[in-house]
Amino acid sequence: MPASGGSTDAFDEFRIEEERLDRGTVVIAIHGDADLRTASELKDRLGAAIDEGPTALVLDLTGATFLDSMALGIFLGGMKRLQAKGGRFRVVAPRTEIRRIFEMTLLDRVFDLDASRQAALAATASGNGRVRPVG
Amino acid sequence: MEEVFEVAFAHPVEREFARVFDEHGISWEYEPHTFVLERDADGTVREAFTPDFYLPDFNLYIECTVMRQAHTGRKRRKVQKARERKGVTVELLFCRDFERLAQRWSLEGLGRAARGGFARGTGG
Repeated sequence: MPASGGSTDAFDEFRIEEERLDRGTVVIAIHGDADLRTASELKDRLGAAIDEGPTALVLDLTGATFLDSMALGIFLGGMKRLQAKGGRFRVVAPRTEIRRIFEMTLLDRVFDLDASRQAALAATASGNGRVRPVG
Repeated sequence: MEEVFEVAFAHPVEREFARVFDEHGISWEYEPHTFVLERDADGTVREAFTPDFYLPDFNLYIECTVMRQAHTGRKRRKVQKARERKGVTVELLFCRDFERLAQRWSLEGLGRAARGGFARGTGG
């Protein structure tokens, strides 16, 4: 059952949806602008999901409209924490403008990026991707 | 964050890359750290490595090179040593990487700087 939550007022475009699938896979979907204003909530929600110890976490940015470097840093920290526990972390980034920010920062080399949630879930099921801690 | 106009970049491609970071709101520092990779028995530094960029939000270093790939062996080895001995995340960008980024995202300045770089190369 998806659980949703999000900021209010001026930031109501931003919201996070979580979905827990079989075999310890968690999907976290980000909608709207992920930036300085929403960083605290993003960090808390991602951290809480990782604390549960999933075997895989799929960060779905299909609905994300903007990412700043703070949001990217939170993703990176989350990925490192999960990988340190032996979990897999994949990012769904089909939108051109979101893909661009990953490529410009070279983080497309650090994260496992997928064009769709389906592809990301298939990759986690097949065991593809990085499992070693990065950085 | 450093200001692109206040920094003495070693190569135009670095300046253009810094501009790209600025346009995307990415914090960057230019050559902030030097890693000692080898010392002689008396402690004299024999080999060191200063990556071009540091992105503090990601704890990520970027080394740029526009030398022909055949001439980049020494730089590759330095990057590998820094990764292994210092435990840092360093990404190495070659001329073809700049050209690919420039073409894919219509970054004319970066593409121009990269194409002009074969004759000069970058330090590091």
